[in-house]
Amino acid sequence: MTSTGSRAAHALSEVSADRDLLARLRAGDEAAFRGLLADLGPAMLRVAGLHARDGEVAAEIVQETWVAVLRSLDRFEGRSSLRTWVFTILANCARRRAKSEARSAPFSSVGDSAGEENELDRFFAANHQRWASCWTTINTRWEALPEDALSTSEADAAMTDTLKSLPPNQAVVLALRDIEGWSPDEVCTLLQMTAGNQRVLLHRARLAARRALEPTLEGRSARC
Amino acid sequence: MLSCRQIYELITEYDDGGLSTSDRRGFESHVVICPPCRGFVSQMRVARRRVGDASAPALPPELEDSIVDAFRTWKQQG
Repeated sequence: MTSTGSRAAHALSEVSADRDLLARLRAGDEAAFRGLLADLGPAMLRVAGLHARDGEVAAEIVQETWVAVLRSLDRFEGRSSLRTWVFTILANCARRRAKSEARSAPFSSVGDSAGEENELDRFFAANHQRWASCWTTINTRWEALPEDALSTSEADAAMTDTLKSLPPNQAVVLALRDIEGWSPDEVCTLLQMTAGNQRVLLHRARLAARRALEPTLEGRSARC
Repeated sequence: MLSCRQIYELITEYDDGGLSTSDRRGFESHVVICPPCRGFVSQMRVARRRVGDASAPALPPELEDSIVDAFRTWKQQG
């Protein structure tokens, strides 16, 4: 876990990197703009996709956001990070769009829990005489496997399929936390959800990611 | 003493530093002595790493072009 000191140092370096980037953007530096777009664009499209009825609308929301960002760039005072500011504009654009299309809010529930229900078979009953609420499975340590065993084409394909089939709100929380490296607070603020909901969605998504790897990796562990 | 099922339910909260001191200690002292939970914790770490390795899909080129066009227009308008 990051220490408070290094987190503060990271925040400070983020502010200073933002300041440089902002100066370049305001000066019309296209390479700097393309860099920022490459950094933020994919996650923006994912978040927009939560509010949009299809990919085309999500792309329009992202486009509209950048136009709004450019229009306000000179007024941005750096009170939040550039990233947070861009995503706040995105969330506003997406919500306005969803409202105009009379779509319901995407985070009204924490979603489907079917996969997790199935996993409860992995535990002995709470009233079991000897093994109450203990695992019925062995669970080998995957970290002991060599790197090439972890990253087979089967495991990669299973992971990709699972990430695609996650409920959208789980997929976005997982992407922001575990791919983009956002903090829980940043995710809650952006998606306007409680810390509890954020955690439940992340937990289910991570469990699904683990399940995706199980058929290939448990087989390999047993042979080791 | 926490049960294995509680370890399964609390691992994300543990990783985020959200557990109370006593639950945190309970979590750690359970995992130390329970091989299936040690395995589960290891599996969750591997799964997180693999998710983190999954590259985010790039923007569709036509969307990227149209956003860069918006930047050029903005720049021209000064």
